[in-house]
Amino acid sequence: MGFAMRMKLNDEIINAKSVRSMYINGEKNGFEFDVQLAYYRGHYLSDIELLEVYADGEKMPAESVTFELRGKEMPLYKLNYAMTEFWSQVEPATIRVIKKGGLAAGKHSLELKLMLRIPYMALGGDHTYMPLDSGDAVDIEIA
Amino acid sequence: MSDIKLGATLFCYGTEYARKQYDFEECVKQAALAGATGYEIVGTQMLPSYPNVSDEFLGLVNDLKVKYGIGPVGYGANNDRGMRWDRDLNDDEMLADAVIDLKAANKLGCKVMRSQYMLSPAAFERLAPYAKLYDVKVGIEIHNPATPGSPVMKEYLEVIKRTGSRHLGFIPDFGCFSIAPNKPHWIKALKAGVEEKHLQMAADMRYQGIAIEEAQKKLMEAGAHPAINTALQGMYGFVQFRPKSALPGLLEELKEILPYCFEMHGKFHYLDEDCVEPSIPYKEILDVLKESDFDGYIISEYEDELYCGGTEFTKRHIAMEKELLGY
Repeated sequence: MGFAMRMKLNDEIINAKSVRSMYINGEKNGFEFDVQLAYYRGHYLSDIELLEVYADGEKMPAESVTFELRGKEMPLYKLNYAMTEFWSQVEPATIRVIKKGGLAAGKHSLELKLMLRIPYMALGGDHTYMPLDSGDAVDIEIA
Repeated sequence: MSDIKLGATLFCYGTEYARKQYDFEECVKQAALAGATGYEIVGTQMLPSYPNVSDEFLGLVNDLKVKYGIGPVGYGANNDRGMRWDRDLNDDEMLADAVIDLKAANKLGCKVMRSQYMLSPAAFERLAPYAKLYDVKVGIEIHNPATPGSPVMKEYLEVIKRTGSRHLGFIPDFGCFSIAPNKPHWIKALKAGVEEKHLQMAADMRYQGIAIEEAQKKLMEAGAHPAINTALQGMYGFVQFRPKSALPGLLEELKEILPYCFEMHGKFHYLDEDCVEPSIPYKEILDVLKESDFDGYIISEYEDELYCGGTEFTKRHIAMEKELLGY
């Protein structure tokens, strides 16, 4: 991958303390975490070009991952079309992942690949824009 | 006779804001403490209900105006041509979004809106009647590497002159008058392990107008640390600079568009305690403004590439301007 912008103004992109187990019908069957944009301004969700979650190196299937902003939970494929949903950089979004059995108690590595277009920084014409890397990787401990 | 007012964009405090050390109120308070008599708000950065202004947020803005004595005077719009996943927005769509921006500016009470060159000259022209209705003056930002005399800016100038609209104009960003390397980029390169002699060599080649590819090759041959490439990209990109001998010509370009300027963006990247911007010749620029009929704000804009926050630097910047303007 070539050059990508990254403006890590805040200390954390993935809020490590926010990582928690997700329960389905009272059983641990997934995990959730909050994420803040690594840039000085917000973006429409339609600027998101790539969003992938990896738990201990294993890629989570796209349909098991959702993106939630202001109480609106969306499947990933809809982000392309979400050009009225504006994600402010001071407002964390929640990523929810369904995973059978969840993450076992103990230490884990969690990685978010998150790439966006910076929609006003054109690199020549024809829909090519400066990429923004807002991904992060953290080591976490599940209680 | 000029009437130069001093303001600040709350973007100066973008680092503190993103880290939640400052909320919106604290940004306004700090701008007032720095000596600003009005502020610019960047919609995509600080409007909680972007692209709209909610009644609740307007209430906060008005309360803070009473509390700290300053309110919004400029609205920083973004023209996100690339917001669609599948193609660029067309002129009709860019125009429609710019009308929404006008509504936000107007509701906040801003008389000036800063737009970017992504809004084409044709769409800019079609915005004029709406700008008149809302009584918001729309200025195209002239940002380094563009200068007031760049071909694309001449296209906007042609629109401004042809329509005769008093609501279409420019907002020059002083970064386009840079005549020396950007200090934070220099500091960051040194920290990354680049030797100062190689940075100086890069700057000299930039002054001489040597192409970036050749400069890169020569630096590698001279054994420069690869981290110099980031600094080099800057020198040929958004923080590029010209030889000091080019300054009179650049200031002539400024004079030509001054009758159409609604606001200035007082860009700065670094200010020591002696309050001298290392790359942007403030004295020469402000001398031009003083002797003109410019009536409007210089909006201080600190670009925090060192991630150290803008509180102290913004105070220094306004102090520097006061000193140079004799306020």
